[in-house]
Amino acid sequence: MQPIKVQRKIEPFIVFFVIASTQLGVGMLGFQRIVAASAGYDAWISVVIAGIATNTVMFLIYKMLKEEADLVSIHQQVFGKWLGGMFNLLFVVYFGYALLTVARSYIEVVQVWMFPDLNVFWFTLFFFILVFYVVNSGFRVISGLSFFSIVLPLYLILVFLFILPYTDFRNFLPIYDHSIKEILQATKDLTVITLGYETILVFYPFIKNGQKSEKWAHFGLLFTTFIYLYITFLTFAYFSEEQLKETIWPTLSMLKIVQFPFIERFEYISIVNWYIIIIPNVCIYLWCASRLLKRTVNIQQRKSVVGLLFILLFLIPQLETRYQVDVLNDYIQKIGFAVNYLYIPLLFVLLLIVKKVKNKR
Amino acid sequence: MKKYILLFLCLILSGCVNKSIIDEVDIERGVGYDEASDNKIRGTILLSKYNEDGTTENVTMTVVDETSVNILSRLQRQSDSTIVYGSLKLVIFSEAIAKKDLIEISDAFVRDARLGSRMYFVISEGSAQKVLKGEYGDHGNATFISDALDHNIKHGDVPKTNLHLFVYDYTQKGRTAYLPIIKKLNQQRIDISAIGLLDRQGHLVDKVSVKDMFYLKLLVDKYSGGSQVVKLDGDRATIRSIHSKNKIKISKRNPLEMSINIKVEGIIQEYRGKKLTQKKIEQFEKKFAEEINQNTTKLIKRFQQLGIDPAGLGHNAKQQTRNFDFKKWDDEYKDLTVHVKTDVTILESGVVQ
Repeated sequence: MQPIKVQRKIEPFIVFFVIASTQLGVGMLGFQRIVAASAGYDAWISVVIAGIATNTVMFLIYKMLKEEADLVSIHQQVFGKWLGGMFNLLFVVYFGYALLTVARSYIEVVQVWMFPDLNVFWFTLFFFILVFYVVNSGFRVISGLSFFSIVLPLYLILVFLFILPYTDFRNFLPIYDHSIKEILQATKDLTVITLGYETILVFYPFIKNGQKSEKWAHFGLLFTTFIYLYITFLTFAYFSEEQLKETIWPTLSMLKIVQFPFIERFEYISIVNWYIIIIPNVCIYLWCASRLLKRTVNIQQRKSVVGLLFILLFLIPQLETRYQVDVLNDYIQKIGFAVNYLYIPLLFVLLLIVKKVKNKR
Repeated sequence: MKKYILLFLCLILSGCVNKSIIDEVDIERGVGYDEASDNKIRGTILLSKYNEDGTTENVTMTVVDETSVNILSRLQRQSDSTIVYGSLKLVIFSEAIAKKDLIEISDAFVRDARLGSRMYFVISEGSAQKVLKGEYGDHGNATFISDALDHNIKHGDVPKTNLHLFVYDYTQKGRTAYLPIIKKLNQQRIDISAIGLLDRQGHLVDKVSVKDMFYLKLLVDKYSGGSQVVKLDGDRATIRSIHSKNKIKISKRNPLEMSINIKVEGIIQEYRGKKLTQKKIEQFEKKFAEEINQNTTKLIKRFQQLGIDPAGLGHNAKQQTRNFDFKKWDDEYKDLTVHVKTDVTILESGVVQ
């Protein structure tokens, strides 16, 4: 690996924004329905457990990154050049798939809520032109965009308070009315909204004093856990359990009740605002995929970005119905769970063993 | 170069989406559903036409069809401009519809992303079409009726209601929904004449008249301003800006008993009688509490007989019981003993003694 120039690296505290922005995304609009299906009003406990789980995985990731520079060199250490390269490519597919899910799910929201007769292809094309423009400018620009994607929509937190007159916080009682199994099932279902932080395995070499950024990464995860908990509390106090099971985007449906003298309906503003949240999300996945391709098969990053975008531009308009988008989300959920909670800990253990064996020699 | 590309994109992209110019569309503000022959529905929509001189003209259109969704598309065909319904404020169901198809029709309103959650569902005494055909106020009928409901919810005896709360109550286990009932008095006036109570299937089964609306609101909602007259041996006091809260609790298990604690605060605004002493005020407090106890207990008995639960006793019981069994609750509910305890505090008695 060539050393990365200092002027292309980011400050450690920016990691906070990058991690938070990868986690906050389109999943935030509709995760409540999925978790409430298995744990009902107790699902907020699952959000807390998911927060603990992501922080644990992050801890393992940093332990690994202390030994090795990034995912590619970890794979090389553990599996050797060829097998390691295979796993790298699997990660490219994974990031590409995650990108596809995020982009398609967001476009679906725009279709259902704002423009039912939106032409998906053209929308995606212009969306991708913007994404290309950002990714082309390098990781520093992406991280800067992450900063804005957290700071600018932060006011939405306050907007949610307008639903308070229509909430009943006693809905949570009795706390812990579901079995541990149900709550853990809900935690598993939550994977889809916690995904994204594993990208640090790829962009870690771009952080100045990498190990110093560890606390910021954890803060980022705690921040998103807090946001998710906040939204979960409000949603559960606002909807009845049955209603929640039928509402596909509870976060947006909740905003339907917010009304100002100058804006009758607020959810439209928030959907447009969500665009700012989605862009860095998509950019980071794309950047990571292309970076992995560069490190594995030595394709110029710009070329692989264009290539990936073309493939996605072809795929996205093919997925047309709600059912297909749902299936898409279902798979990312399962794959993401396997990657984050099974594969990364396994990789950690394997790396530990490999290092021990090599040291002994 | 980049700047020009950006400018170019701005120009071509802004033309990509369907536009709707406000002067060229009809804005649907209200809709009413009546029963028609052969199991069909008569739908009436109310459009607001905003004239240049600032007045609002009420235009209604009516068609008969099998489903509520067809009604809009048929009306669309009869209109010279596109009907948009993003700012729909009011949905009126006639009593006959409320006894039968209300829930089925309401699905369309919940499902549509373009509609807000604040719109009002109301039931009309008599035909909904007739209500929509009045000429109330200067700002259009829908605005008039929804404003009337707004301020009666804030300062009057109408319990808090809107589309979201209706669906919330209807779908929450251990709770049933209620909707306000309006009546057309004459061409210029309407009245909120009762609160309609719906059963678990969403059919109108009972009406709480104006006389009992105060007590109903104490049970299902909290007061943030209302007034009530209390009589005591020929003396009369009007209690105003009433604030209330209720707490529903399980007071005993096996057999289940529940208690409702109502806390009422108010100010005496008008008093007719001899000198208003502290002792007298206390007597008034006691009398008022007694009246509330009696009337709310009566209402709850009535709910139990009908198997409805607008106060959400079941929902509250569930919150206080682990592994709550709703099947068992359904059996128990009819003969459940409910104690109502009211605590009235009169804070002030005006500027004179």
